[in-house]
Amino acid sequence: MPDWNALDWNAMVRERLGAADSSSVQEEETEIIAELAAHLEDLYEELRAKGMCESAAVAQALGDISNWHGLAGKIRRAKTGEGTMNHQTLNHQTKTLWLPSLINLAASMIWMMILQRATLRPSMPGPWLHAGLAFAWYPVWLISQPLFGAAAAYLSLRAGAERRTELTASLFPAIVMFGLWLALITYIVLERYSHVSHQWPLVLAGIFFWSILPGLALLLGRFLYLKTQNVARS
Amino acid sequence: MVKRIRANIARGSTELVILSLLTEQPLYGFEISRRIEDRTGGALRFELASLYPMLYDLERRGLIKGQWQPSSTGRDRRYYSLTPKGKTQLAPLRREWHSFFRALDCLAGVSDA
Repeated sequence: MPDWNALDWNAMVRERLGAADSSSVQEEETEIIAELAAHLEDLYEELRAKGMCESAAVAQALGDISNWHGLAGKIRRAKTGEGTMNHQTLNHQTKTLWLPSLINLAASMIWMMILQRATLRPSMPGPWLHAGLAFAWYPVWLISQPLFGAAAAYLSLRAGAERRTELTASLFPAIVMFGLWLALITYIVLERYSHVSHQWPLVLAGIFFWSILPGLALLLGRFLYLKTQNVARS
Repeated sequence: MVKRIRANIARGSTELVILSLLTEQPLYGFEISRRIEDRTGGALRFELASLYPMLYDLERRGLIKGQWQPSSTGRDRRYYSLTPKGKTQLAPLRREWHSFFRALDCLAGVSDA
């Protein structure tokens, strides 16, 4: 049973905001942490006065902020004046969205190339190079996608991303693939190849195997990463 | 575009609400959020995640000033008060919102709704 009287709201806020140790944080950061901690403490006491049990009051007070990384980003932008599309906002977008997204995409594609080179050789037995079996490396690539999704979520959140930005960064390779398949569909329609009826099932299969399934795998990695973060905090 | 307009309205209204409250007396964050909720009968509620970034933004722009002081419970709280620049800014802001509501009323009859 925790000792609720000894609740260290400062430590809880510092941990969730991802600030550095108190010995090295700047004075401004320490003040922000103290202020947010005081707010949560007041909220906790208000809930307790309404008759809520201690553990539920702590959980509800902390639950008042659903996205700590997003809050850290908002505070940083408020403090530095990043309100409009200026250099700093672009910098923030680069760090929270573009960098994690492109790292995610590049890592996923490079890993695919490595697997292809390792598995597809002319000397391989015939069946391995035939149609579906030529994709023998695909399951390995797919299984590894959660790692990339989790890594992108980590990089994005560490930079202070809000939930939607971090989700986009995690799903980026699947989004790009989806875009490519849409471009292919557009090409097929425009070039009037649609009369070739067998193309459509193949296109749908392509979208499923190259966008939907990897997307789900990336989401799984992101979900597992966020879950481990929540467990670590609680 | 609609979302952006909504965000701008929300941001502008928060600014007006906070500055107006601080004309009465210095308040700290939790008091501000509770006062807003009480006075609007719960219709407006500012969560910590939106309140403090707004306070810091107003402070950076020199409209309010925060200062640590002991509260009625004896614990230190950061009280915000309106600066002379904030007072100057409030009057045109109120006029702007008044015009906005009047215009909205003419177009959409919001006061009869």
